Amino acid sequence: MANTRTLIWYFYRPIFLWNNTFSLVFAVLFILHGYNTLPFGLFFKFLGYASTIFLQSATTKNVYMYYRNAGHSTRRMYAYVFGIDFLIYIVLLFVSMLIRNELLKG
Amino acid sequence: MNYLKVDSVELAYDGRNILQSIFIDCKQGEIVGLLGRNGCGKSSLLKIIFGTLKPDHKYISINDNYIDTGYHNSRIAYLPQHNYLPGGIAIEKLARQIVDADYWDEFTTLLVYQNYHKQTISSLSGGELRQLEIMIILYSKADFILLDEPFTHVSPIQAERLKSALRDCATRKGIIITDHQYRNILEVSNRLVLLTNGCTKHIVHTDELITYGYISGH
Repeated sequence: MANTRTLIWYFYRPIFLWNNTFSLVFAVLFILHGYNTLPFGLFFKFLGYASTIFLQSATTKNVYMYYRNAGHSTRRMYAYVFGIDFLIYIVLLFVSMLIRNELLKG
Repeated sequence: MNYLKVDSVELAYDGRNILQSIFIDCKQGEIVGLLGRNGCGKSSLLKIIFGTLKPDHKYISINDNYIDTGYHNSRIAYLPQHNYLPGGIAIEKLARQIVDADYWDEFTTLLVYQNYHKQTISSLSGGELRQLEIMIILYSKADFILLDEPFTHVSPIQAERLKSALRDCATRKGIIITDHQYRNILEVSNRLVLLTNGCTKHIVHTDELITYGYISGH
């Protein structure tokens, strides 16, 4: 399991900033415009995931073999990192809700 | 003793048969040389065995247990033609994820590892990187190793060391190896299989390579 956790981090590292930029940008949009933006946020995140797969496949597809040689399929690695990324997004969204509520109260 | 069997592989692209009537096997303790002309399907066959290319039909088993994806549970490791190690991560950390823990101490005595283990792959020359990638695969947990052109980008002295490492590795694993530097393959292999017209021919005598038109008789 420690091995898998490390591999997930190695896989996530190069796409961490890209995907979390999508999350942060939407968090700011949510604070400014509220709950009406939520469906758009989901679309925004999936756009991030689609672009990640496209960019990774176009530029660093070769390294997929590293993860396969470690015993993991690319599909499984993407499922792990997108799952973790989505959790981070949910937490970020929750924090944004709290900030927005505080701003509205103020 | 572990036994890999690859049977009835069929692969077609755009209606053209690339592989048909394929049979190749490998036992723990032997090196099987896979020869064939450019574009005959050697790499495709290795990818099918590894599980990254889906053919029209295949039967692949280890010890008579059918396997769908060779790399699951690290049963089979594969050295692709291209570099595969991710950048930006220290070589020591990368190697630890694939190298068999039982052989880690032996692996760390390798010169290419000792020289660069704290650095990332960008510090290595093309030849050194290739050498490191090969050794990581040879020292992996896998029972069977597939090597696609391991002698490419490798200097003659490194090629000699690689052949010695292959023989050592073959004492505990089965290896299927393909390369256009066929003399290296002849030297290191216990058995030869020629891929021609999409079919495998089991070569008993090297003269058959002339008969099948793989090498010229001159």
